[in-house]
Amino acid sequence: MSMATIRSPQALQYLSVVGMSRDSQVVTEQWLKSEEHYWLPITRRPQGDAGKFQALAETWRREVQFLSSVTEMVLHPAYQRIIGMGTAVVPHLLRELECRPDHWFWALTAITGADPIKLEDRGKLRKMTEAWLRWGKEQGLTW
Amino acid sequence: MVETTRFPNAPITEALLDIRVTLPAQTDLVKLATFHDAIKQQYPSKQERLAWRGHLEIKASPVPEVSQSATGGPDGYLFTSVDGRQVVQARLDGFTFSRLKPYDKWESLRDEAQELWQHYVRIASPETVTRVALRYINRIEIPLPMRDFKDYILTTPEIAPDLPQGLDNFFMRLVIPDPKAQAVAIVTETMEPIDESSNRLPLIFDIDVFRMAAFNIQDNAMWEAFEYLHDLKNDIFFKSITLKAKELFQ
Repeated sequence: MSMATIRSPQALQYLSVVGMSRDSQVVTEQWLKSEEHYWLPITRRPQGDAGKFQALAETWRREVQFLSSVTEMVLHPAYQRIIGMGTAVVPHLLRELECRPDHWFWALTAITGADPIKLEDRGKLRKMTEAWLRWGKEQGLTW
Repeated sequence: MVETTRFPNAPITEALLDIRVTLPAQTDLVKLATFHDAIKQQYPSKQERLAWRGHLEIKASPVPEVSQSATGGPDGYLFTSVDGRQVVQARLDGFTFSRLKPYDKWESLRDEAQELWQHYVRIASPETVTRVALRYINRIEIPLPMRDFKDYILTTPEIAPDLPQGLDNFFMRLVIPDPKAQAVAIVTETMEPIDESSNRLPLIFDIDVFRMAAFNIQDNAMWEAFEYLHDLKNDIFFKSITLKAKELFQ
């Protein structure tokens, strides 16, 4: 029979004892993050929303690359499954939009009920992207 | 010794002086609480300090057995100054004095700590000092865009030149022995997300220097050790930052 004993490292106990400032907490939090990676490497973690979203987005991009109809693009099963993930996926959509602008606007409206794009900007990918990123910041979202 | 400069906008967000002791059995929390009587005017706020330690065991068997326990409880008190910038801890395992931003100078920190330490000695009657430490936490807000961390700080993580050079986050801890000062320095560097309002990258540069040794309570050797530790801390700080970083602190 084997036994695993998990305890916090000595140095962490030392850190928690002495620092009083916010920055001392930052150091401790970053330490904990590093330690968390040691105990639970990313390769052994269950796939979270971010991983699920990336896999679906990748499938969608690959399979709609030769489509010209936006309606067909948004009806793709992977796109629909992303919408089905609900509000948890909104920060991931905004991050994706920021890095690689694409037709994520329909999904964002379907999930949030918002439509921050001005009438005159419809069809302009850059302006539409800016409008949604601005909306995300106004909602206090981080991504 | 390295040439030092006093910066008008020093990056130090916390400087602290820590002394670990062994106390006689008769010194308990009730006795430690009376520390406040001597410093109440300058440090009116009093808080109990709680320290907990968790323990988790997993026994590998057909059905894994998990047992956990926690030990701890109150181990001392925190006393905070009127302006909230100075905090002194009187604990069953030692004494700590913290100065939060804005930092003035080493002499002010040391003198205030010395005075408070005398009160601690009178009340807690420590038998011996087992470790002395100084910790300086610096926050260097690097303006963006930035080409390389090395433009500001010379001790940084390095990525192989043929790899993408972007860095989302890092945590680096270096344990550097200094046999001459019979001390050890723990240098920790990490970063916080970019502050978009100021377009700066907050880099935390934490220098923790300590000496494990037994000192007699009334012996001045402990305060001499602190001077060595302070020199070591300065050595690490001033030899790590560049001229460009110094300009940020003017």
